[in-house]
Amino acid sequence: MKVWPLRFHPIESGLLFADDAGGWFRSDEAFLSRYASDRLTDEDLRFLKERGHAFEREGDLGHTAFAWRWTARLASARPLSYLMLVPTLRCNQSCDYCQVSRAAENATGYDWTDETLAQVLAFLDRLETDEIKIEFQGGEPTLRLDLLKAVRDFCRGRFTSAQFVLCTNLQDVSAAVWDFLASDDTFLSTSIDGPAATQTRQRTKSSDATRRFFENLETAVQRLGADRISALPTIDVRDPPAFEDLVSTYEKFGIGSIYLRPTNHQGFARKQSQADSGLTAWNRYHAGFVDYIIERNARAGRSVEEFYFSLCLRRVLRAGIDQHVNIRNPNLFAADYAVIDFDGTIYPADEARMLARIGWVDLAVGHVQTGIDQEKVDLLNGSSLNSFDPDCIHCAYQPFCGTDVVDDLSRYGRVDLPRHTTWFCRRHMAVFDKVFELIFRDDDATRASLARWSGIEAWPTAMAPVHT
Amino acid sequence: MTHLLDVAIDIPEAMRGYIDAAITRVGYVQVRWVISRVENRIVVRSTADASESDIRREVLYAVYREKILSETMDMRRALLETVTRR
Amino acid sequence: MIPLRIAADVAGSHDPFIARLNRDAGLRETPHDVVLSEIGPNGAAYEGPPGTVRLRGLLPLDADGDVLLVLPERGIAHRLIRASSPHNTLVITERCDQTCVMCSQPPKQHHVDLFGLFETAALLAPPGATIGLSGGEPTLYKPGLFTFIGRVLQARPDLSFHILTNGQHFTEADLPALRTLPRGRHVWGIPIYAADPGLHDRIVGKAGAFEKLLDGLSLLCRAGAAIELRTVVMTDNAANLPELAQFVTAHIPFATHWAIMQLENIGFARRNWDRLFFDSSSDFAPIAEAADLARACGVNTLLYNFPLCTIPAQYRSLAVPAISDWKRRYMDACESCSSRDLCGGFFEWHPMDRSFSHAGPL
Repeated sequence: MKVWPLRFHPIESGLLFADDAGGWFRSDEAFLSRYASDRLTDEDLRFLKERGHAFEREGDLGHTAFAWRWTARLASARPLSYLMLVPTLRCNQSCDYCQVSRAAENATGYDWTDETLAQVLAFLDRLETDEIKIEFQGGEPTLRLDLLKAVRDFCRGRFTSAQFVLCTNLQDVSAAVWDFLASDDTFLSTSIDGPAATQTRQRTKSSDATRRFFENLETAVQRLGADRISALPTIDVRDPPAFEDLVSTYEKFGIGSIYLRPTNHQGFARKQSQADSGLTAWNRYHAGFVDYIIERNARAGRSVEEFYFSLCLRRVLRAGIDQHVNIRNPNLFAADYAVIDFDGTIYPADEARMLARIGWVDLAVGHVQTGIDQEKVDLLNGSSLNSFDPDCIHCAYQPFCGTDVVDDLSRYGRVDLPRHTTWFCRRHMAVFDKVFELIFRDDDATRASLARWSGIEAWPTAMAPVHT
Repeated sequence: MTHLLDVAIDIPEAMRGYIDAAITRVGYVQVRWVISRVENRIVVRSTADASESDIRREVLYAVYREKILSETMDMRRALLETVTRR
Repeated sequence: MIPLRIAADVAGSHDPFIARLNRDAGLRETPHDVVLSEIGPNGAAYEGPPGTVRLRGLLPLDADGDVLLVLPERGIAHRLIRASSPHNTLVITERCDQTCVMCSQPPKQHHVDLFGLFETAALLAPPGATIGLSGGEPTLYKPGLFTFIGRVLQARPDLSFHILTNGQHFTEADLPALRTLPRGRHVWGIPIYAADPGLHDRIVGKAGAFEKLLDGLSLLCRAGAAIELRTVVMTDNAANLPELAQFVTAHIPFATHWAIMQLENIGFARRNWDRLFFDSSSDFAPIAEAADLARACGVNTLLYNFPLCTIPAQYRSLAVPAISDWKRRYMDACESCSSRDLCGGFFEWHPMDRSFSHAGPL
């Protein structure tokens, strides 16, 4: 019998073992010692074969199924079908953490020209896909409702299925904007950083403006229904909102999925130690939030999730969770997703757009007029696979993890640093540590939340395999 | 005055072929350790906060990982061939 | 119950032939189309190139477009394909190499090659139809089967097949043929009853079946074939469902979906009903655990042949109304059920006196 290579990683309750296809179990030092010195017992081998970590001969079901699962773990290339469009950089607000990606409301030269619009539509027309999702960002995109309508009208006619997300600060919402939001194919996304005090401090700068924001949000819930609304908080970990304040604010508007994101110190030169302490604090805040909502879900009988944690949990449990552009393997550039800036430049991600604005690195991968620069995309894609990275190949979390070349470039100016020194790696080690801590934790409240977050009804007893 | 810790780890015979690779790897990961080979032992001089058992474990883990990587390389190559051939 | 076999009188012909029924002339004009010429109290008469056929017990309105296999010497016609129904199955053979304890179509030794007639019939199917192929064991006649499927799908790119098989007879040599069958338009429905080889073999009545099944599944995966795994729940295997779920996620993750199925009281199941029937309405736990485990790990799991009232509310979304229309019925009490339109009901021959303890209008 041949046993597939096993990676191992100390966790609270023992050692986690994982194979290249993302199959995992918990065991102990004694098993590791037997495995490493080729002294596996018949009992060990039986367990390994049963759980898909071993096979008898090439071409048998164990072998074929493993090869299939290994392949399923890889994100496949898909046609471009999800675009973030930035028709204007101008904004009517000046949130603390956004300085680099906005222009003043009455500035000129920061909008799509008529020519840019025509080029964008022509670019959309050339796409292979039948289905499209468009996310309008900015600045504040509602400052150019005319451009949004032009794109939406075009897409509705051109594609079999089209969905639109309007990302707006919900500050000044005219009747025309409500009208725009009235269609079933159009969704709303906004930022709720916390209760009024946090919102004012970080975003609106005036309690009056905050009041208007929450009133507009209330109206949005009434008009669109909670199902067509999503919101994200940006958290300053040096002065974060209390967990309950944050959750109850979201709950008031019927939103049960909260995607915690730290303030993004994009490209600002800073000492390494400062960045590290930020990460430690962030990991602690995030883990604390997850524990908090587990306890709260059990108490309140309603289910709230932290979006990114649920995503990583699902990535541990199964293959195919590759829709999030920040975590997948390989993380192909300008494949299914791209960003089009106010001047028609195409970027592989929003972070890349911001890096260009501050002059840090040029990660543009084309222009709507000339299309996508495949040579540059291929160059970036060369670093987008973690499977054979000399560090990742030893890591038990590699099958669930991914890469973020843009993040590495933004923080360090290079992509070849030892993985365990990068923010991306250390952040995800912490998240997956938390995932497995919860999986092997033995209490009802945790199991109930894990089930909801995995998309099932109840957490099966056999979900946390242990081999002794 | 810095606290120095010297740890010598005996490597089992079956794994001695991986001592050099393990030393390279541990040196890369644990930048504050001074690691050397003395016959069939790996010797670590550490000024960091790691305990002796931590050091011992990290070194052994590195040896295991190099052994596993090397001995299963053919399996991984064969897997790639299986999934990429027509 | 909808009769699939009806009385037929044919003047002049002896050999079996295919006929497609048409209410009106001029719409379909192949050599196999017959047109309604007369309606009487005793049935309807149709005329066309195959001859004149008198059919009893058929409503011409319901049967418009139906494709029949007419057997003049036996005075009957089989309604092979009912144009207005999504449930049409062709029985390829009655021979089988297994004797499953719950077999709904007990095997016979005699085989008649009907591929030629079936091909004619399939080509006359309404647009977009899915045709079931069943038995016995269809892959006992692999060459004919592959040829039949390939030729029909090539001539009718709109059709698709769902083929039931025990997966025992695929070999390496079949890979080229399997790979040429159009993807996305055929699914192999394959039963697996347990993760334990001994238990599976006992249920299907064949030693070594489990090992051969695994080999067959491996070949089908390598061929890129679509697979619907099927597990009938009985007292013999209910407690082992979670173990089977684990096995499926590790070893058959490539299945398109996994159907956990309630028992049908027909064939061998009829005489073994009291021993085999597992009352999932009073003990749904093993099914719930299996479904949760499989779904968490990415295997799409569905419930076939479970009346909605017998499933706990939070699992009802997994139910598919899978019972074929011609053998489906509802209880009188279902009249007042709020979910009747979503529910697949019961089998025609379900023994209401030895049935689910918890069943009733929602």
